[in-house]
Order: sequence, then structure tokens, then C-alpha cells
Amino acid sequence: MSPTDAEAPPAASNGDTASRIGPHPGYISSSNQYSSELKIRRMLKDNGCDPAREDNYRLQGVQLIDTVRQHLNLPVRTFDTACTYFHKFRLNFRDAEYNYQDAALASLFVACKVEDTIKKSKDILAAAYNVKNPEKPAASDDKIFESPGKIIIGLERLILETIGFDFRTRYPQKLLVKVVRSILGPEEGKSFFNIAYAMSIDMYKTFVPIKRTTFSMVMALVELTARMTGEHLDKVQAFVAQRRQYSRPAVLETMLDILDLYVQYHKSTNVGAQFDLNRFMDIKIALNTELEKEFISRHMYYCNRCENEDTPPATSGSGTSPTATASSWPGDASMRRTARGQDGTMRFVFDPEAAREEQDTVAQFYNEEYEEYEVEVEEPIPPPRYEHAEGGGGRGGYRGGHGHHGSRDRGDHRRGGPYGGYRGDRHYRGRRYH
Amino acid sequence: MNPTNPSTAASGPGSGKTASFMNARAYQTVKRSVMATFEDGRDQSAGYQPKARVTERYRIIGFISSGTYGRVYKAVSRTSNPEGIAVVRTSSGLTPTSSSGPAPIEVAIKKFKPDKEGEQVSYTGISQSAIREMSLCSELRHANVIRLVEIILEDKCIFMVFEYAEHDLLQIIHHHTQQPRHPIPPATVKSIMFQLLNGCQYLHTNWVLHRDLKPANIMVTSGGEVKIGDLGLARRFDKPLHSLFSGDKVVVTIWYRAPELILGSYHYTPAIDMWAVGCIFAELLSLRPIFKGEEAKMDSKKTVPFQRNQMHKIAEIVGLPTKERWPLLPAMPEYSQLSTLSTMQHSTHSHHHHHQNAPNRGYPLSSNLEKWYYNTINNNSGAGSAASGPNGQPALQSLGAEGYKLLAGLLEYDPEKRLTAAQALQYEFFSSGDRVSSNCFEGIKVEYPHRRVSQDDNDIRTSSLPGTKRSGLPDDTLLRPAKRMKE
Repeated sequence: MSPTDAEAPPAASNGDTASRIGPHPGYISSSNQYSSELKIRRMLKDNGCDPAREDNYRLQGVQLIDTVRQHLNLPVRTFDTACTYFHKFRLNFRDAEYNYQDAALASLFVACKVEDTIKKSKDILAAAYNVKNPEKPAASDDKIFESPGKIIIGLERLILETIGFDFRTRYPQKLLVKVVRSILGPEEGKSFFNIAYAMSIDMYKTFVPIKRTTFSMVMALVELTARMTGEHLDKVQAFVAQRRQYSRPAVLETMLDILDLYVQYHKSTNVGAQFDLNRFMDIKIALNTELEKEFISRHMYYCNRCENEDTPPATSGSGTSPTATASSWPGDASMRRTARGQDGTMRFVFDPEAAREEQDTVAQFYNEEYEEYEVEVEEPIPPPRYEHAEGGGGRGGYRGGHGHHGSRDRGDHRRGGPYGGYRGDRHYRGRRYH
Repeated sequence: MNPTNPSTAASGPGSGKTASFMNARAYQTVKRSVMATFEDGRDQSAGYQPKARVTERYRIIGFISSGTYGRVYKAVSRTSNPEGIAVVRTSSGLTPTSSSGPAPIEVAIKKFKPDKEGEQVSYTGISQSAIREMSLCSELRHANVIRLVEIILEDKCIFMVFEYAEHDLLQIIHHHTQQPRHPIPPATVKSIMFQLLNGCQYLHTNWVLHRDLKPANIMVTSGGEVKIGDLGLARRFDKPLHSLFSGDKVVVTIWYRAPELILGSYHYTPAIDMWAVGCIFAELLSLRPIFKGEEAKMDSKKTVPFQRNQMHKIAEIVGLPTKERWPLLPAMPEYSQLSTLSTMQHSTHSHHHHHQNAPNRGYPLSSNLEKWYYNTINNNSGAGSAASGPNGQPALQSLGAEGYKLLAGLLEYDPEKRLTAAQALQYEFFSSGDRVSSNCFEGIKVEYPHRRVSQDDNDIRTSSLPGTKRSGLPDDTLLRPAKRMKE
């Protein structure tokens, strides 16, 4: 599409295909503050994440943010924001396209600007370096930080894109102080608070902060601390009974998420080492029993059907009608952003209603309608790779098929017939999950 | 699809130190992707790729102004509906139309220039002030605050798209200074002040300080709606980690800077915005900045100088501040400077005519503001009675004593006693006399000149920023003091 095309008034007559409608209005994005577990899993899957490695990168990235921010004497709210951006970033980009440490430091870099604790990129890099190499510290103007500094700044743009210029994050620690005080009083609550606070830092190693409201996070921390220490559970429950905004399913999911972290990564947490592993297991069993008794699902807004059915076009369509599958899943695979895809313009609209309206209107233009009729054709046996992806549904298998599709289609989506679909992207808008 | 294209050695893991710092294998990948970030898609394998994406959505009309942050352009949306595409349903299908829909929406697009880190001119990412402006604007929504429509992110640039306002107060004031000099109609002044205070009240109740209120930043739409604009220096003040002073050393353009700022207060409140509103009110009446001081430049050590001349200009009209009027005055860091002010004033301005009240100090002991006000409204045109109200009275006289009360309340030395926006809105100034209109142009027959949009630089794509300034304006009231400086 050349600029002259863009200038030309949209006319149906000057083209025989739908692609002549006019310039594609660009990809629209509105931020979403919360993601469900289902959506997070779907995004990870689409990124082709290896679950074990994903966990590792997530834990180590958050750990890096924490040590660096402590080294730089940054407040916990900068940490909260940095971790939130880090998680969101990692959900949107493939592991292979960036180094998780760079992403962590870039997230911290952006968070510093947002939280009014500004640091230069090199200060952050130097802090990270000096934490690792305390015996030979380097100054922040050292040449070795120059090129990594550029990487951080390059990633900054992708972080802005990921968060959709919605800089809001949640700061559970502040409410945590208040809740613990109001339940236990300022003096008696101290030791209790210390555990709960450490747990709140651990919590950022999970995806909880992008799933839950501040209140649910805090109540989960408080109840879990009470259960861990075996103290004050009655007071916590009495407190909860007076709060109408309390959502038991949300708190249960959050506690179980945190417990999963402690059970699986006992050693790489603050609180994990302070308690016996069996204690975590016991609590987990108790909570799971509650789930069953109350018929609450482990994750909110979860849908087993979606989870199973949710296969991407590359695998689900098999070979028969690739275009039809592509359009039934608008702008998914071919429009996935990658760290390399810098060429498109992104628009960030702040009124979700307006964004939705525009999206629906635009979608009409890029939606191809097909008349279905059946034709019998000899179908070649699909390559085993696809079989595996479809049948197994495992993350690894899926990754193969998807990676192929993505790399082939990316890049020519704008010229390609009808604009490669509209990015009404589920990953992105996050409205359609149920 | 984008082959590795390391045009510079920028990200080469040269030293062993760096290699130990990063995982070498992952590093290579990052190197490629980060280089792509900087490559701007120039060498995309598949031929020409249009870069001007913002121009697909908006047609750039021309250049409006530039500042420390970047530049502002006027544009119209290519679609006829701001948040959607006008569609005509025909039998043959759907056809977007630009002819039968409403007029294209006008916008102002602010293009940020990249931030500088240190001296060298290298791209260092988005500036903190841009982040502040974006995070504030995306959450604020009020009829008297300029609305952010969207943010557009391109390869190297960030564009903020705002609703367009045809006028601003600077322009309107300037128009009235044109021969014959004629005052702004009182109903217009009233409406502007009400809307301005209304916007301030909204900002302040939402814990936002504007910190750069001045006529140039107060927009007025062609429908007469006042919109507070340019939140580039604004910030939240509810939970600052540091004192506000330590964040940005210098805030508010010098002529509109509150006395507590001049006296180096470590912390400040929404009252600084209210002082500026008072200055704007005075300027709407007299068509000149009321305290037109000269800015003392920062020295090479970047220490903030005492703005002696500005303080002098304020004292000339409202008198020197006293402990009695402002109990916390002696606690101000620059309090000692006030005593040197009077001596300096003697030596350099000994011929000055404001001596009559206090021959030893050179400043009126009590405020001359009342005198200033009545002089202004009684003789506001400068051209005698050329511009008079219906009964031969100077037009502004109808603002009367109520106007003075508002002005004095806003230009109160003690920030704790200064009017808040909410209090000011309750003043009789607004409830007495004619009903305040939500259209400040109501009853005005002539149309104000439109915003000057320059054609010679309407290439939104140019990355270089020549030292363009607002092109030649004859009146000296438009020569603003140097742009605010940041830390």
C-alpha cells in the first residue's frame, strides 16, 4: 500500500477485491487491566512457551527486578509496577525474541518513569551488574553498559505497546498494611505483617497481580498468612464477613496460585523456606476440599471447553480451507506481534466503548463471507507434525505448527489479501473470553 | 523476514564483561530484535513499506507550535467519525463514505521528540513527562479539560491525538490588543473564568496539579468551550515520594508563578494553580500580563536562582508579603532574599513612581491591587471611551466589586488563604449579574481569527527539529519568556 493509495478516496470501483476498500485503519488496542487464567494460558500457548522454562524465566526475572530495585533503594510500588509490566510483556512476546533479563530490567526502567523514581537505563544496568559482581563493581558510565542500554530502550517501546499506554497498576502492600492493622492492631500485627509482606513480594512471581484486584490479593495474603502461622484465622474470617466486595472464588484461586508457587519453587521464594513444605501441602488440600464442597472451579471464568477446543487455525483447519479458517479467527496468527514486527502503527484508544464500535464497524470490511459447499477432494496425508500438534495438544507440539505459520505469514500481511484480517485480537482486547 | 542488519556495532557484546553479564546465546537474538527496533523498517525485504502510518488515519493540515516536548500539528481524521468509520449500506455491500457523513474531525497531534539522557543526542526512550501526560490524560475526562483521543505508536515516534481547539486565551488576548485596543466583553471574561475554574476544580479534586497554567495553555473551542490543555508538566500530588520541589525544580512559566514557588517552598499545593488563574484573570481584564518579570537564568551549576525581578513585579502591585498576612512566610527558604529586594529595587529603579506609600521600602505597604483593578476596568481600552458599554460606561465596569473580590482572593499571598477553585466558583462574581454562559463567545458577533497553522512545515515525519518558534507575532505581549526549564 503506497501513500498514494492511502490518499485515494475509498472506492469500490477501483478494485476487484475487498482489499481495495481503503487504508486499513491500523491496529487498535485498548488496555485491559485484568486477565483471566484462561487467557493467560492461551497467550502463553500462542507464544510457544515451554512451561518449565516459562516458570523459570518468570521467577528469575521477578527476582532480578527485586534485587536491583533493592540495590537502588526503590520503593515497593516501583517493584509492583515493574513486575506487572514484565508479566504483561512476557505474555505478548515469544521467549526466543528477547532475553528475560533485558525484559525485566526494561520493565523496571519504565516503572521508574511511571512511579516518579526515575533512573537512567545505565544506572539500572550497572546495579544489575554490581549485584552479580560485587567484587568488581562498575560505574554506570562504564562503556560495557552502552549497548545493553540501547537494548533496554528498544524494549521500552515494546513494553509501552504491551501495556497500551495504560500505566495503572495495583499496589497491594499499602492496603495490606491497613487490613492487617485493622484486624490485629498496629502492635500485635507486626510479626504477622512481616510474613504477609514477604508473601506479597513472592506473589509477584505468579501471575496473580495481573489477574486480581487489590482487595482480593490482600485478602488472600492475609488468610494464607493466618493459615501458615495457624493464628488469627477466626479474626480474618470475621473481618471478611463484613466486606461485601469480598469474592471467595477470587481469593481461593489466588491462595492456590500462591501455594502452587511455594510447593513447586519452595526454595526460590522469601516465605517458602520459613515453613515446612508439608504445611503448604496441607493448606492446599484444605482449600481444594473447600473448592469441591462449594462447587467452585479452581480458576474463575474458566471453561474447559474453551481450553480444549482452543486450537489455532494452523492446526485446526487441517488442509482443506485455509482461508476460511483464517477469517474465522480474525487476525490471530498472522497478526501476532513479535519483537521484530515494528512496522505497524498501533493506536491506543482510551474509550473501550468507542474502540469496540470502531472494531465492529471495521470488521465488516475485512470479514469475508463464504458460501459453504461441499466438494470431495483427495486429501493428502498431512505431515506428522501437524498431527502431533492437533492430537497431542501439548505445548511443544503446538509450538512447532504455530511457529511455522507465524513466520511465514508475518511481514506480508499488509499486502496480502484482505489485509490479513483485522486485529480484533483476542489476546489483546481480552473481552471475549468467558 | 527481516534479515540481521547490524548497521552499527551498537550492540556487539564486545568485552568479556558484557558476555558474562548476559547469556550469550539469547543475547544474539536480542541483538537482532533490538536492531530491528532501531532500523525503522528501512530494509524490509519486500520492497517499499510506507512509514507514514499516522497519515493514513489523519491528514496533516499544518504545523501549530513546538516546545521542549516536541511539536504540535493540526490534522483532520480521514474518517468522518472520530471513533468509527461512517458507513453507508448499499445493496451491493458496504462502502465507507466521506461525502455524506459529518465533517471530518479536527485534532491536534502532539509528536514527542525523543528524550535525551545526558548530553549526547541519542534516543533514550520516552520521557517521564510524556508518561505523566499520557497517564493523566487517559484517565481524565471533563468538559473543561482537553480530551485525549488516542495515542499512536510508530516505529520511532509517539503521537498523542487530542481534540482540536480553534483558539487559545493568548490568541484571544492578542486579538483584543490589536488596534483599536478593545477589552474582552465582560460576559466572555466571566464565562472563561467560570470554565477555567471548573476545569481546575476537576483537576484538583482528582489530585492533579497542572503546574503550567497560562493563557497559551488555555484552549477555547470555536463553540466557546474552555479547555485546559498541555498537561505536560502536570502531576499527581496525592502521594509524592519526594517533595514536589525536588522533582521538577522549576514549574510554571515565570509570569504566572506563585510567590511560594518564587520563595523556594519545598512543597506546594493546588494554590499555585490558583495564583496562575488569578494572573490569567488580570490579563483578561488588562490584556497584559499583570506581573511581567524578567526571568533570571539558571547559572552553569544548574542552581535555581531567586527570581528577584518577578518578585519585584508582584510586590509593586500587591505589596511585599508580610508575616501578618502570611504567617508561614519566614519559613520560606528564600525569605532572606525579600529584604535584599527592597534595596536592590532602590538602586536600580529609584525613579520608579510607586514610592508614595512607603518611601523607605519602595513598595506599597498595603496592596495596590484594588487600585489596579479599578483603573483597569474603568479605563480598560487604553483608547479612552472608544470601547464602552451600552450606557457609555467602559464595558468592564459591569464586573464591579465582585470582580475585585475574586481577583484579590486568587492573588492572595498566603497559599492557605488563597481561594480554592471550589470556593472561587461559589463567588458572587458568578452568581450576580448576567447568567454565566457555557459558551464564552455567546453574544459576540465577530469571530476570532483562527489558529495560525503554518504550511511550510507540515511534514510530521521529519525527525529533525529545527529551532522553529511561533512565527513572527508583532505584539510584545506575545513574546513569552523562555520556556520553562526542567531539572
